[in-house]
Amino acid sequence: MTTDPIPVIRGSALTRTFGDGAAAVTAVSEVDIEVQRGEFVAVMGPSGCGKSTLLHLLAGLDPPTSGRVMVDGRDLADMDDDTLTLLRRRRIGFVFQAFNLLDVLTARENVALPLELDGRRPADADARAVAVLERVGLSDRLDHTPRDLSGGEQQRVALARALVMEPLVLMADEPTGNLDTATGQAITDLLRSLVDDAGQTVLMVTHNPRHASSADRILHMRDGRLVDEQRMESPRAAEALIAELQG
Amino acid sequence: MIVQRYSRRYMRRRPGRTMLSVSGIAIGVAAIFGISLTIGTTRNAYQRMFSELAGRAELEIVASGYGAFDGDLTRLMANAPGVAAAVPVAVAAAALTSAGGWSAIQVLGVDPSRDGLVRDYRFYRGRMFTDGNEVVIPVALADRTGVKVGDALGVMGSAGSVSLRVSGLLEGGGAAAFNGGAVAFTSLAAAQRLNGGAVGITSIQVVVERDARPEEVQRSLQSIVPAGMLVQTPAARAALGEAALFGTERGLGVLSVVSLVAGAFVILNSFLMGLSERTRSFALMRALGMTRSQVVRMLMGEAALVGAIGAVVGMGLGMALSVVLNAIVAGVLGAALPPIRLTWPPVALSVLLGPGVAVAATALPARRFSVRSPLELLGDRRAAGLTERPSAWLPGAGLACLLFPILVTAALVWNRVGSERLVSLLAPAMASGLIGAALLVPGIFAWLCRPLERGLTRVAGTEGRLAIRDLRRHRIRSSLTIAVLAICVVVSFGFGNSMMISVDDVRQWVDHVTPYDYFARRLWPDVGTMSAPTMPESLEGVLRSLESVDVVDKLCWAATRVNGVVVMSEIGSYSGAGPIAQEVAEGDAAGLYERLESGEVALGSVLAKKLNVRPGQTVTVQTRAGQRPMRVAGIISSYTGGGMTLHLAWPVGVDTLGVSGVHVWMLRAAPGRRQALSDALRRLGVEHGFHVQSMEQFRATVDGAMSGVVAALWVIIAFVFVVASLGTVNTLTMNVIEQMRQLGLMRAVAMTRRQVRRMIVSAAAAMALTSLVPGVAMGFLLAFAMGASHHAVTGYHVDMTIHYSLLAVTVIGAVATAVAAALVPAQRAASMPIIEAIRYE
Repeated sequence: MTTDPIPVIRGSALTRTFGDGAAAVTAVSEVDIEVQRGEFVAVMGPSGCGKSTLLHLLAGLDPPTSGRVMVDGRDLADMDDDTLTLLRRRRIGFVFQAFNLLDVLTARENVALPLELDGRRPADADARAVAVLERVGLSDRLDHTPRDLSGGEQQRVALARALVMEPLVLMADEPTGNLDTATGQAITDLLRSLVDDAGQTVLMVTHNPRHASSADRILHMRDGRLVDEQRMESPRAAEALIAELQG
Repeated sequence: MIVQRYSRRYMRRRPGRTMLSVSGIAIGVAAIFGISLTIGTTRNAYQRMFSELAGRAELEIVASGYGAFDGDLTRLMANAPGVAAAVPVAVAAAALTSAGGWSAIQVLGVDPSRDGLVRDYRFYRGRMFTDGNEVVIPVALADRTGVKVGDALGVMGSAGSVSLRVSGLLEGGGAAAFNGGAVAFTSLAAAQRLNGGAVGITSIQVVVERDARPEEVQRSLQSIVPAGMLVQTPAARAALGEAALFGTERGLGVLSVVSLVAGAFVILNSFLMGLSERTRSFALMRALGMTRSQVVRMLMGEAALVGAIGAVVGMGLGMALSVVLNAIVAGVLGAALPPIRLTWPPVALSVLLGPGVAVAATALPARRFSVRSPLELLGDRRAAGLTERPSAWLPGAGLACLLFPILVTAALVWNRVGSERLVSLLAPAMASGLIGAALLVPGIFAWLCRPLERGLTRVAGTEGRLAIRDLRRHRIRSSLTIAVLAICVVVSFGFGNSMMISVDDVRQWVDHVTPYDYFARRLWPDVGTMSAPTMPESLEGVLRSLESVDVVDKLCWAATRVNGVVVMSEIGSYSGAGPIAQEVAEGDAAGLYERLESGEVALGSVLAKKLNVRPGQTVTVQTRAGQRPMRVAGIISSYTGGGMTLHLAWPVGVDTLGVSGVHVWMLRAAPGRRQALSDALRRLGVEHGFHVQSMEQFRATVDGAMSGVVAALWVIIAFVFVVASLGTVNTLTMNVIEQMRQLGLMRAVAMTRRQVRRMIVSAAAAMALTSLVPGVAMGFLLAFAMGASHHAVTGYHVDMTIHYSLLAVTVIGAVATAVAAALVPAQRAASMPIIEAIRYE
């Protein structure tokens, strides 16, 4: 754990329980986590270990049963739904595993949507969306609807949509989960370049060690708890990690 | 922008559902628009008829019963304070006689040298008449009858037939629009001649000085006119026509509200399906930063757009409906109504109601949907929750809503509140009842599930059972479709039964109050003006001298006032007790006519109810000699004049109202001499200028008018069922789409295409059968409430009979509609490729 006094994200003693009584399931248990500005953090672990639930708690999509989440120093528990929504809109970019694009909108419209929801002028929103799509390499796919795009292209659009508001932190939930290996790696490389070139903070959930190895830091989860942390300080460390995890 | 684009593209991608939503609103708006346009046009027709005739005149002076009076009064009025001009008018009810038959026309006798002070005459061709042998008519009437300037126009007045030369043709509008354009202008003397040589005029039209207040001038003139004369606004004459419309308005008002509620449920149904289908998209937008209020605004915007389109479509349909209704109302009133004119109030009402109802119907679910967390919505397509789990408060709210119509019906039965106020509550009460019934549908459906499952399993095997389980899984969606079907059942059975009872009652009334073989008349008066050319009383001697005749009775109608209310007076002379004795609702039927001959009066039941008068009490009748108290001998149940009638014996009517002439002779043949009487009457008709109508022809005329009403009823029922079928298609299609994967698996395992089809058709049949429970129950309540309101308004009881044929048609119609609507989604489900279905997300 780092001890930077102003982390972008800080989760303290986070617990999330679903159901009541005997049927209660604790997906996340007493997790403490901090992500620093400009850091690329990956959360790894087996299916059902609580990775996605932790990400949802940190993104303000789901309230914790106990514990606190601070984003840029502000406690999510103190916010009403509208404030939380605005925070999500302006400070957090979220990428889903299933792309989750609106299928009746074109790529540029999907990307411009958060800007327009925020009250930006349509022309400005469109110009900004086009710029971000160009940045993720989709300048020739601006007016295509999701059904006309490949999986990798769809995920790039989703990435552009998450970036368009210039969020404080980009959260990605298994962004490569629905993609083939090469395309998945391309997406991970894109995330890495965002961190290196633009100082973007990224928190990514993945079960793929190769993709996780692109991060600066890897947090390992098991049964709802953070059980280990690794820093990828050199390519050799990454290769060692991959070899270890792949057995 | 993008949000609106998203909404628009979604609607375009789902044209069927969008069309259903639009049709839901369109049907409601069409009913409201069409009905208010028809009623407005009819009311306006009566009001405009008199105000157009009056031109610039703000007041008119008339005699009681709108009979003739001495024209010398005009000079006195012209010199009265506050009066800028006073001109005489003599109106003669007449018939235009041509080779094609007779048609009603109003001949206005005016003074051409002074009439310009009140009316403008814009000539299309020709010039003003110069003497009593000439006439001026509107160009539209000339075109219709093929008459040109210089031609002779055959006009049959009370004095018989005369020929007038057409000296000029008037452009439309102004006085030329009076009586729907069926008008002719001639000299005062010529009109008086047509009126049987009666010396005098029928009104003085008064233009008030610019700086005088009309109300003050009216009061001042009233104080100086002789007894029996009235100073009123020209539009006041419309009261009679408006009173006659009241019953029709009541029924149509209930129907329009029922249609609007049906429309609201249709749009709610399709709205919830749209929500269910787009749960993931909304979850995503919420996750991306769409606030709750933005979600609500977006959904409300969609609803408002659909409502606005529905309003536009509805107004188009409403125009068509109003044309049909106008023809029916004209038939019922026996009046030549002008064509439907688009006016602002119905347009404004529709523009408000279309989006308003759509937004109101969807506001609550939209709000509930917006408060769901994005993660909850992302995780489960059905996490919208409101689409599948009925709230616990539904039954309580449903019963509370049902209480309103029950209380109104009970109050109507016991008549605790003023009748008209109660009757005006009927439409909102029925709307409340329908909403209540719809809220109870989920509970009714849950209660019926087990017997339905058993029954359908017996008929359709496992597919029947699966169908019920599928409907149970989507209880709210199924319930909404059931509610729409139930409203169809209410309209079909409840409204239909009520109308059929009324139609039967009219037919029975015709049968037992008209014990005659023939009628001899020039034209039947329309109920709005009670004007028609009369025949001379002297004809009675001629008719009685016929060997083949047994009974000769006569009738005449005129307008007057009772306790200040404008009514139609029916003056009759009967042999023996006469048909009036058959109609007695209150009072002693025996000897009624004798009491009328002694100077008492009978009141129509609607009028008696309105004035709260009973036999033995006294009413004040406006006679030609002023106000006169007259004792009420009995209350009469009559459809004549909408029941707003004053019944007088012939000598009393002649004495008090000064009527002269007979509107209709009613004749019964001597035993075995019917044909001989017919032949004799037809010969006399040619000679004296009247038509002979047999009882069978009269009954056929009434039947024709009633058939029009019944035909309109069937059109409305069919229309409502078409919308319900669209709702059923929508629900079942949505079920098929959501279960695509499951259906694919069932097909892969064992289910044949036919079994898939049977399962979906079974679901449709189950919904239709369920809809019959609340539908028929509410239908009974509606029919009973309409019957009670009939009693409350008219004062006489109509037996509540059940038209089992209508019930059977309703049951078959509901099931057939739902099953037919199921065929499309059933075929879609049966024909899908199995692998594709299994992969469906």
